[in-house]
Amino acid sequence: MEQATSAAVPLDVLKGKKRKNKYRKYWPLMTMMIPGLLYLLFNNYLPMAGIVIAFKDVNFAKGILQSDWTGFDNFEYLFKTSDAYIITRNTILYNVVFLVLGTVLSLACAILLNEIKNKLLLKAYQSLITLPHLISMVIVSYLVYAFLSPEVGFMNKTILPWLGIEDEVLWYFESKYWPVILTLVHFWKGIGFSSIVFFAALLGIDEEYYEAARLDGASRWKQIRHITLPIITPIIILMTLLSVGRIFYSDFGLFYQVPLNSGALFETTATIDTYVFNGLMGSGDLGMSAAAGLYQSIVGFILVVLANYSVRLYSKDNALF
Amino acid sequence: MRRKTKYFSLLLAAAVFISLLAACSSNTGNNEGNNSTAPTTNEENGGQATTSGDEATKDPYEITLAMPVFGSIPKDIEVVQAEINKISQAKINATVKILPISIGAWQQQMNLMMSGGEKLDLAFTFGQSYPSQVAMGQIEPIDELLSAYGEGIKQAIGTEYLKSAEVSGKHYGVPTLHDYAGQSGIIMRKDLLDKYKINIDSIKTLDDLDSVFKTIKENEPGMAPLAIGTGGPLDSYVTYDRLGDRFGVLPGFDNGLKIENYYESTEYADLLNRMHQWFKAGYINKDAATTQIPEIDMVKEDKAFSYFARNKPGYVSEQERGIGKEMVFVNLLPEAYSATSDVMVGMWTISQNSENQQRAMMFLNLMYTDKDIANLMLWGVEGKHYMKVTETSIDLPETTVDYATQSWLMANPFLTYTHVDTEPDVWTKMKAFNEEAVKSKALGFSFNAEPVKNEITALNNVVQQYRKILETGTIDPTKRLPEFIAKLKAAGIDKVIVEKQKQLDAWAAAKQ
Repeated sequence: MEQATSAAVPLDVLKGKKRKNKYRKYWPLMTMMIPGLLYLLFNNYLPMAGIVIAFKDVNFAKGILQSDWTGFDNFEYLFKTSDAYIITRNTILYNVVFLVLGTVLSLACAILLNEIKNKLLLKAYQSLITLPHLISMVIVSYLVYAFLSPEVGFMNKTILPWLGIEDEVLWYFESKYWPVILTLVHFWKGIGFSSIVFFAALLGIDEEYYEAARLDGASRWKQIRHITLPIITPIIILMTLLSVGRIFYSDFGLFYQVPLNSGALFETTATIDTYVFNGLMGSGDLGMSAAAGLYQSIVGFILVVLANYSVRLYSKDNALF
Repeated sequence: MRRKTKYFSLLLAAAVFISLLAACSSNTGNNEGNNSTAPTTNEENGGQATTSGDEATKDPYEITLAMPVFGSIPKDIEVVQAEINKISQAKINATVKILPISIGAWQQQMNLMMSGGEKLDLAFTFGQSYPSQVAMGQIEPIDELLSAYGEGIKQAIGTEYLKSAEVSGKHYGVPTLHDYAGQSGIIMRKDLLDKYKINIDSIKTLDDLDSVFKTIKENEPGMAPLAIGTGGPLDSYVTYDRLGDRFGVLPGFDNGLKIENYYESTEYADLLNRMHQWFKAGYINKDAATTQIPEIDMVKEDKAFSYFARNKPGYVSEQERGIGKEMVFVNLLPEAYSATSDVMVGMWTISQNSENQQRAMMFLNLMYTDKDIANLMLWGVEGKHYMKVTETSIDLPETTVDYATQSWLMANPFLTYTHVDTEPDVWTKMKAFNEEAVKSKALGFSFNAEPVKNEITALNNVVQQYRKILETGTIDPTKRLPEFIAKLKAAGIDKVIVEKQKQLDAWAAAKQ
């Protein structure tokens, strides 16, 4: 996709014969683009035809196309109960927190990493904070369990007594703690990886800006505010726009595995994905799960367009499209 | 130099392009081929279903048979297959190709095969996915085939139990033979019972367990008197026919076919209170509601003393082998009961992709009647994968065996040899057990949840939220049970019960 845009932009400004020449000049590049485009076509666009499943009562004997149409029946369960409110609220709130706090934290992380001048230490820190990203959620859930287990957990046995709290907390039955726990786990796992993009952008900033600023007597903080941040604002916007599209999706591993799918935590850990999974695990209804997926992507799509639109209002150059 | 790199990159691009095209075109080619063959063969089969046996076996045919594999795929599956083919070739002029699919990929692979129109004749089907496979048309009705070629199957299973597999009056599969009933009770460690001189004859009901648990709790520190792991006591202690999903049950396996909401019953409330008492007294492991460890492992590791279970012939010795200690089972309900869900644990079904359904049915019939095929499928080849000890029992060689499967996947394990460690007469006992069990008045009724699937999805989530924490006694039911009931009502349990009652009445009327 990036190849596509970089090749297309200069073409826009050219006209007539010159454009033809440019085509000739760039044709190897254009040819190279074809595999990428085909991949997109076959992997991302063709399967979109599967959207019809969301509106059908799938019957394999009849085949997908011949199955009966059901209108919006498959979507009904997503909105029907009082749970609909809880799962939508949880999904959105967690994602907003992850988005806002995530940007701030990973940016801070990247800036801090950028300030470390010792190469060896830098590599060590970077590896350490990226490591959790490589651990499977199932294993993470057991690491969390080691902390929160009611009988032998580190929290109940060591940390709480240190703090002078005698009562054991049944972590897996008290829903009020989980927004904090899940946020902590999410950032512990993901922050190292998400700061890489920002860190890479920081590395690209010319050292001369900072030199000049230092000569003018700018403090570290001022350098960050007036040089670093403005330069990487486009990256921040880009990353935000990309994650806005996934605001209706939740990290299934985080919300299902880490709370051990404990029913008592439903209030604060149920998201659209876990709700669909718990509801349809038995029946495996294709239409209904497709409906959930379609609902999530349509809301995501609308949000991306809206977010992009508001970015355009503020600064045209930074918008995605 | 520059020119060279340019051409090189071009070449690379072209290569990637072509390989992509090739991959795609070969895929579409396959799909087309399969799609075009599927409908015609269906027609053929419909026409041939009535023709005689001789004509039906005229042409050789290869039957594709899919079954799940737990653990690694057995190396010698082809050796076993070749032996089976010797028999089936002679009897029905057909060979079989066993398609082992790892259990982790089973569901997905089956769905892909069904929707991709791949060749598949016979397949194992889990009882829980049977109704949805029927609803989605993945498997074929087999009543005609059953009467034409399935006499042996009917005799082996018995008509009453065979009827359990009916969906709207039609059979889409045949259940495997196994224990069709269960008797609720508790299984306990014998060494501790002896140590504290607990008389098991004194244990008749749940009330009698209090003192037993108390003794264990006081004398065995660090041990939970009652283990709750992946299951739960109320999964095994059932006084009602759950009618599939427990949303509306038949109390006492009869109740004049009147469906009731079990979660609202006083019996349920009492049971929850009892569980909570036990939990508070420390009789139940504290992580009961979230642990993923099976009860059997907790007992094995000396972390627990007992667990609730449903008894059947061979069950105790099976548990003893897993735990490595002597165990004692005590009944808590007077009879063994049988309901549809007990029968429909696993089934064998004929796929709608089958190109020769008669032959598939003939082979299925052999699986239920031919002793040699049954033994080959379960144990493998004699002398290679097992040795005979007596006429009816076998032992496995010391070395690793390259063929292994599970007896509950087998169509008719009653035909097979028993392992030397199990009771030699376990199959005879099980047959008698199945015959003597009290059969639910709704035995044979399966609920079709399709008309209320939105409600079911919501109800599943409510149950997921409350059932485990209540039934493990983790949380005080005085406040949470009414909340649970109210949420079930809000999610539409009454509508489901009305629908279920309607279907049950229609089923009962059709039966007469």
